[in-house]
Formats: sequence, structure tokens, C-alpha cells
Amino acid sequence: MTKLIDVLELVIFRHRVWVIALFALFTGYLAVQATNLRLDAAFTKNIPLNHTYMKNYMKHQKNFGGANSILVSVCDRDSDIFNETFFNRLKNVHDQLFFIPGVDRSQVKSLYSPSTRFTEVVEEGFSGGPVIPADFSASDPRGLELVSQNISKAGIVGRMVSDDFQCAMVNAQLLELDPQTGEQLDTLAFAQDLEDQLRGKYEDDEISIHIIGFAKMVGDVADGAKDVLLFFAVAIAITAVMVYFFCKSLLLTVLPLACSIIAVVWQMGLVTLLGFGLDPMSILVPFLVFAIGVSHGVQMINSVGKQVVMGQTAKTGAQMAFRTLLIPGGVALLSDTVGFMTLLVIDIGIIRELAITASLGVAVIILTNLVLLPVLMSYVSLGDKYKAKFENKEKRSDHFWESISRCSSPKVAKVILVSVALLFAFGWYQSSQMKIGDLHPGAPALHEDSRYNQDTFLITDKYAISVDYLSVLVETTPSACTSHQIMSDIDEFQWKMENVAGVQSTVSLASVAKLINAGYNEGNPKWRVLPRNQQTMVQAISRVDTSSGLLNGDCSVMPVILFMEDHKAETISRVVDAVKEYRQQYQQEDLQFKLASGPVGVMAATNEAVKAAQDPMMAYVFGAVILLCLLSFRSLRATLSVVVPLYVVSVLAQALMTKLQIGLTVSTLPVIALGVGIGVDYGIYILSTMSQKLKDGVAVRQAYFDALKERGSAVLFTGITLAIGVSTWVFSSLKFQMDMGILLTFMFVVNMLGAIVVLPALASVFWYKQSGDKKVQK
Amino acid sequence: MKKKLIPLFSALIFSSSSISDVRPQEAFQAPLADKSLLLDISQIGQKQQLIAVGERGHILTSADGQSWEQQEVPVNAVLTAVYARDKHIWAAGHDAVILYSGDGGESWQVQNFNPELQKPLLDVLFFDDQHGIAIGAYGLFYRTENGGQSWNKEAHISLLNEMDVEYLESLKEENMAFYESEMEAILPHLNRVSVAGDKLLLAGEAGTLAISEDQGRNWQRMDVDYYGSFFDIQQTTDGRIFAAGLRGNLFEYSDEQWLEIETGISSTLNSIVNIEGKPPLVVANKGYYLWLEDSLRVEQTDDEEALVNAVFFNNKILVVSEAGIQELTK
Repeated sequence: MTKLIDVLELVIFRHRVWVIALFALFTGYLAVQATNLRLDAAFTKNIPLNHTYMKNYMKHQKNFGGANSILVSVCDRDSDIFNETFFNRLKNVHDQLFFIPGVDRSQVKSLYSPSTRFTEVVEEGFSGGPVIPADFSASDPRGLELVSQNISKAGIVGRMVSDDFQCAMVNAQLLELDPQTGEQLDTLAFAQDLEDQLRGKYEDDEISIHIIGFAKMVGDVADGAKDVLLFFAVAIAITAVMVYFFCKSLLLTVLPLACSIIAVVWQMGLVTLLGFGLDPMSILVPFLVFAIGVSHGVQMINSVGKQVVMGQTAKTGAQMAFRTLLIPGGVALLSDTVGFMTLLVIDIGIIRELAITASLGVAVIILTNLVLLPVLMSYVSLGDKYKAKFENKEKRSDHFWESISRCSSPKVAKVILVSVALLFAFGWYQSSQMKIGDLHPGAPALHEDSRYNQDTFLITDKYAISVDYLSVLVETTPSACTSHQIMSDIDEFQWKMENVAGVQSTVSLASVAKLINAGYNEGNPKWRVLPRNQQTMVQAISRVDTSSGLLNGDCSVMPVILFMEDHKAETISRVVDAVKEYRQQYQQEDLQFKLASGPVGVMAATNEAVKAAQDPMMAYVFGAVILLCLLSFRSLRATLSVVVPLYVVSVLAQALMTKLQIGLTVSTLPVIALGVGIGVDYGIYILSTMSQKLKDGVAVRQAYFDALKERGSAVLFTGITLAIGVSTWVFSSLKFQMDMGILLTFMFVVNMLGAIVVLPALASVFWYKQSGDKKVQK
Repeated sequence: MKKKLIPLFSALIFSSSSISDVRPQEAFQAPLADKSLLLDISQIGQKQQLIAVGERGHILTSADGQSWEQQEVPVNAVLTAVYARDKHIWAAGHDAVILYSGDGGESWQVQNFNPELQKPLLDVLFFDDQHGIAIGAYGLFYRTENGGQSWNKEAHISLLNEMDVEYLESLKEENMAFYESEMEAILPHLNRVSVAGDKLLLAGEAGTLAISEDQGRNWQRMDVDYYGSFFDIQQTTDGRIFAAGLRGNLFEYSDEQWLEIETGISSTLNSIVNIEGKPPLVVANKGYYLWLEDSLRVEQTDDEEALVNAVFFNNKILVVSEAGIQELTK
């Protein structure tokens, strides 16, 4: 190992100019690539495509549309909808939505679509027609009156017209692929179109436009994600100021920051080269890369600075720093990389992307901050003035480190370890209560007062429909809808599901067939049954079109749609469990109740995937960290000293999630892996100095004191810097960024404390023969 | 030879169809039963209790009209009517089911269940503990003389108009089997039967209104200038007789004539209900309800669910509707 480092040192520091030139070249090339980086979001990336539910969902998506729909509610601000302005505006919105690329034109529905019809029972049987007649003119009060009557006859209040008659709905299904070009739908461009062409054009003092649906949500998230640039700038500024106070040299401040930015540029360039875009959900990855870069950069300038103060030239100092930090820094960054890579086990597109982009980013830091940075620093000349600044500081800080080193004295260690054990027990209990999934109504990625969530609340409030629905796909034999037995079975299932707490209402072909049968019998509610007579059944079913989404072409598949009160994880799992329990008892060969489609079906699958991924992910992250520590320290004791505090902190982070009501979701799941990956750095830096001394038989407290002297300030400093940078996310307009910000801040700070307080306490136990209360030698 | 073939053939059809092996299925105890479609409501004798029946074999009882208890019932067919006579209660419905409870609604037995008929029963009425009738679709008419232990089918051609009667008579001579199948097709749905003094009144499909003086053994059609369906005919407490039907059609019988009352609504009128100390009430689809005051008063519920029948209980008007039990307040 030492030989390898020797060779590397020789090669790199003999050809410094070449190294710099090479880096410049790569940076230039990748910067050009990075300019092509696009924001990119796709519905399918957010769902666990290989989950059974999602396979069923994809299988039937063609027939029943998916969960990817868009609802546009057009509302009159002052009066009911029956006025000229409103109807003209509604028509505009309908037509405009029809022409927005990405919309499935056969699935645009509103009062204006010809398929919106009313039927009424008259003495001769049925009579009916389109709700808005062909000769309708919005300026004719009689026409409006007629439409008002037709709406009431058509029974669409609550679905297409709001309960208070102030709004009307236009809804559409989205296509995953553009039928003309065959390209993936550009969700963000689509969302922008909605904003520009619907809200921009048609919202004013009289009419308001409310848009919800996955595409719109992602669009709003992307808009919010643009704030990240601002946070990025703020974080760089804060970091710069802090680094300056740390090193008291402008040049030394600029170098680690520049190298970290270079790492970000490389990462973005490489991601583009690999053909990925930047998903709004993972937009904070570059930020994280920067933060990690700075953290390692500071170790580097700290080390070089110390060498210089001790009288070396900048070049020798840089070379020495390179030598001493390549191994701990490399191991730390490698465990970050591996930690992020473990996220690949989760079969959800955006988490995999996050895993790839983040691990790439961290891996390039090895080059930029462990190679380029020392090379650059070797050119810096640090004068006597610089040395003088640190002369006194060393002495002052020695006193500070001395007091901290007491953590490794057996007495204090006992107190620390007992408190940690208690904390751990408490955290363990709390973390077992951690909830999976979204805990709040509306779109969890956005704040409750965001326009999108306000629109969601308005629509769920004013209409009987809800965007939170789950469809159970009933797979049976062709023409099954004409069988009284099968339809009764579906009806029975539907009724039992309707009785599950959390289900608001339900609809299926069976329930609609009963209504139609009553319709054929003069609208008499006493005839609301599934006819035993097959011809009568056929007569009823034939009035239901496949575009209703209640049956496929040969009615071998009929969804039962369950509208839910909310999409809280416990509601979802209660309903999903009820479906599973029912089918356990009643499912037959030719009557299968398949989960699941609809937005809540997707959530159910995601929740299950996230829940299933949680334990393996933790196992892999810790497995990787343990393995790397064993390899680099060759000591079980050292490894445990690093890993135990890390584990306690990750359990506490979960406890914090319970306390703050942050659910484990696609966006918060990676946080713990990220936190562990980054948190391990502190321990590795401290222990890499300590472990050699411990092997040489130095007392634990002395070894720890020496380590603190060498690395302590850098560890403290990075912990605080990272935490301050990340904590600015609390002001993000995106709820999930806020959640991530809180959790990461917690993990950075507490992991640092773990490395400084708990690690030495553990060491004093593990190396009990070398521990003692003897004072340290400064 | 020909005559024998047809019953044989129809026997074959029925044995091959799945309906013949349908057994009654127990109703599921559901939290939402009192919010489900309920079709009839009645007071149980002196017990000061209410009973309501509806879809999926739901039978609910209540002592206060507020909280409802779902009873265990051996069928899950839609129940359309209930008749209570002290402790004896009969409920009738689809699959020609007739259920009986001898203990005020706590336990139920099947007296009749005949899904092969593919006809629902729509009303049930008893004259005493032993004698009663149940009526339904396509002229379905059952009578019992023994409290429902056995129910016998009757066909009442007198409910048809003259032309149809003549046509049927002509068939009778040629082909008995065809006569019977035609009769089943021609006979109107019988929607409601009610008592007016010692007479019976009957309302049915296609302008059918009839009166009987011998507990429904013979019927006399009453002429009315309307060919749509009637869903109820009742004598009110003050002795007037009303008939209510499709698309807001309301008639009053006076001087041997049916006179139309303009209601101004086009929703089906389902039931006419006597309310103590108030004018009679008509409940209708789309949440409409009409007070038969000197000048008709029309109200509508907020949720516009179809109101099927009602009862006056503890000074409250309780209706059964598409959305379960509701109270009318206006």
C-alpha cells in the first residue's frame, strides 16, 4: 500500500503541470456537456415498475388509462356557472386542453364532450341527448336553463359540475408516448403548457382555473426546485465565509471551494454523458456533492496548513498531506460512494438515478479533492504572517482538545455510553413507530399552502370525486359481464370494500348495471338489481361504453374503483389488506381480484416497495461501511468504534422522522443512506490517526488527543459547515426538500458529535488495557 | 304431442341454467347498511319499533329511529316491501323471496324463494295473522291461508284491459302453454296494494288501477286517463283516495273519476304516506316530496336522492331512500 502511494505521489507531484492541464481539459469538456443537462421527470420513474401491482397496472393501462390524468376545474369566482362568460371560458379550456401535446384526445371529458349525455325515463322508455345540445349558445338564457336541467338529469353533479354549481371540470388522460414521434412525454413541458395555455390565458378576475394531476405536480416541483440554485449560492457563500475564518487565507478558501465546484461540474457532465437528466426530486444531489467536496477539501487545507506551520514548504506540505489523507479520505469517499450505490437495490427509477448521480459525484471528489487540490496547494506560498496566525491558535485549541479528550477517560466514557444506550433505546422505540408513505393530504412534495395543494383541496372539497382512488382489476373470462353470478360476485366484493373504513364511495360495472336496470324499469329504485336474465343483463351492459373505464372490449376485465378518504399510508394498507383478505376467501380461478391501478394503487405499490427496501438498504449500507473499515483499519475494534455511533444516529434519525411526522417515502428513504455515507467520514478521519497510535501502544486518551489536534478542527468545522448549508433547505418551497434538509442537518451534526464524543468513549472500552485517566502530553 | 314437448324443453333450459341451483345466501353485516338503498319502512305493531328493508337482504330495526341494527337474514336478495302485524312480520323482494319473522324482526326464515321465476315481489299485505297476499312483477300474485307456510300463485286476468283479456281467451282454446306464457308477459307489474276500509286498492304498470271487494280474489279495473305506471294508491285518513305514478303524475279519485293533480315535477312519485296531524305526504325520486295541502307544496332534499317510502314516528318523518334512512325536516 505504502509503495503504491509512493509511486502515485512521485508521478503526480513530478508532473504537476500535466496533472493540472489534464484536469483543466476534463473540466472544460464536462462543463460543455453539463450545459446540456436537462430537468427531466417521468411518471414511470416514480413508481416501482416491477412490483406486482404495477405490473398489473401496466398490463391494463391501455384499456383503463392509468393513474396519469389531469383535472382542470374552471370556477366562477362570484356566481354559479350559468352565465355566458363561464360557458365560453369552459369551452376554451376544453378545446385548448384537447390540443396540448401529450393529451389523449379520446379521453378529454367535460360538459362539452359529446359523450356527456343525460337520459331520463319517459312513459315510452328512455329519452336522452347530449347535456349541451348542438345548437347551444351561451348567450341565450333559455339555452343555459336547458343545460342546467340536463346537468341535473345526467347525474353528473359532483363529477363534472361541482356540488355548489360554481365550477365545472375538464379532465384528460395523458399519453406516456407521443403518438406522432414515439418519444417519451415531456412532463415538464406539458406542465408548462398547462400553466401558459390554460391558466395564463383563461384565468382572470371572473374565472379561476385549478389544475391538479401528476404532471402538474411535477411541474410545480420543478419550479420549486429552481430555488435550489439560490440555496446553492447561499450555501457557497456561507461555506466560503466559514472556510475563510477557518484558514484565514483567501487563497486557501478559494482552492477547496473551486475543487468542489469542479467536482459538481464533472458530476453533471458525466450524468449528461450517461444520458440522464436531472430529476426535480434529486436536484439536491449536486449540492450534496459540493458539500462533501468541501468537507474533504477542508481536511486537506487543514493538513497542509499544519505542515506549513510546522516549517515545511507548501510543496512538501501538500505532498505530506496527500500521503496522509489519500487513504482515510479515499476510504471515506469510497464508503460514501458504496453507500449511495446501495440505493440501487430499490426498484424505483428516481431512487436509482439518485444512486447513480450521487455515487458518481462522490467518486469524482476522490480525484478533485484528494489529487487536484493538493497539487494546486503545492503552488501556494504561505508566508510568515500565516504561520504567526496559527502559532497562537494551536496553543489555545490544545486546551480545548484536552478537555474534549476526557471523553476517552473510563469514567466519562461510562457516563457517555450509558446515556447513548438510553438514547438508543428511546430512539429504537420511536423509530419502530415510523410511518411509511405520505402522512398529509395533497401532494406531499409540496407545502400545504402551495397553489397545487390549494387546488387539490378546492377540488376535493367542491366535487364528490377525489384524486385518491384505487382500482382493483377484476380479471375473469371473456363476456363475464353477462353472467349474473360473476357480476354478483363483483357487486358483493364492491359492497364489502365500500364498508372498509377509509373508502368513501365505489363504482364498478356491476353497480352501474344495477342503475341502468332500474332505468329500464322506469327508473324505479326497486329494480336496482343485477338481472338474472342474461338478455336483460346484456341490455343493461350494452349502454356502458369501454371509454367509461369500467370494462375492457370483451369485458373479461372490470375494475372496481374505490374512492378513498385520503392517501395516508395506514388508510391505504387497511384497504389493500381488506382486498387481500377478501380474495383469500373468495378468489376463484376465473375471478381474480388484482391489485391495483389508480393513483392510490401506485402509492400502495410504492409504499410496499419502500417498506421492503428499507431493511436491505440499511443492511447493505452498513455492510459496505463495515467492510471498508475492516479493510483499512484491519481492526474489528476500530471498525466497531466507527460503526456503532453511526448506527445509533441512523436509528435516532428515524425516531426524528416519527416525531416530526415525516413519512418514509421515495424522497426520504435515501436520506438515511446518504446520512450514513457522509457521517462515516468523521469517524474514519479521526480513527485513521488514532488506530496507528493505538497499535503502537499509546494510551487511548493520548491517541485521541493527538487525533483531535491533527483532524479535530477540520471535523468540527465540516460538521458545522455542512449542517448550516443543508439547513437552509428548511426555507425551500418544496416540502420534501425541507424534510430532507431537516434530516440531513440532523445527521451531519449528530454524526459529528458521535465521532467526537461516542467514538473515544467506545475506544476506551475496546482498548481498556491502554485506557486510563492519565493526563495527555501536549 | 306438441303440448308435451314445450314443458320438457323448458325443463331442459332450466336444468342447464345456473339459476336452478341458486341457494339463498346470507346477508353480510355491514357498517353502512343504514346508508344503503332502502325500499320500505314500517312501524312494528305496539312495540314502538321501526323496521326498514332494502338492497342485499338488509333488514334494519330501530327503537328510536336514530340508531339502526342490522338483523341476520338468510338471503341477500333485494327486499322491496315489508309488512308488520304485531310480532309477525313479512318481507318480500327479488327472487320472489318472502321472509317471515315471528318475533318482531329478530329472527328470519325463508317462506318462499324462487329465483327461476326471474320476477321480484313488490308488495306484501296481510289481512290477519293467517291470510295475506304478495304481489310483484308481470302480474305475480301469491296468496297464503296459513300465515305464509305455503304460498299459492294466482293469475288475475281481470287486471288486464278488455282487449288483452279477449286476446288471451282466444289463445286459451288453441294452446294452453302458449296462453300461460303470453299471460305472464302481458300481465302488468303490480306495484302496490293497500287497504281502504273493507276494500283493496291496487296500483300497477301501464295505467293499472284496480279495486277488489273480496281480499283480491276478483279485481275491478278503474279507468284513468294515463297509460304510464302507478306506484302507489292510498286512501288518506280523511277518506280521499290518491294514486301516484311516473313522471310526477298524481290523481285523485272523486265522484267515480280519476282527476289529475298538476304537480309541476317530472320525477316519479313513489309512495303516498299518511302523516298524523298533517296533510298526506308523497315522496318521489330526485329528493322531491309533496304535501297534499289545499294547494300542493313541493319540497326537495339537498342531496336529491330518490325517496322511496316514509313513516311518521316519534313526531319525525323518516324516509327510506337511495342513501338509506333520512329525516325530512321541511
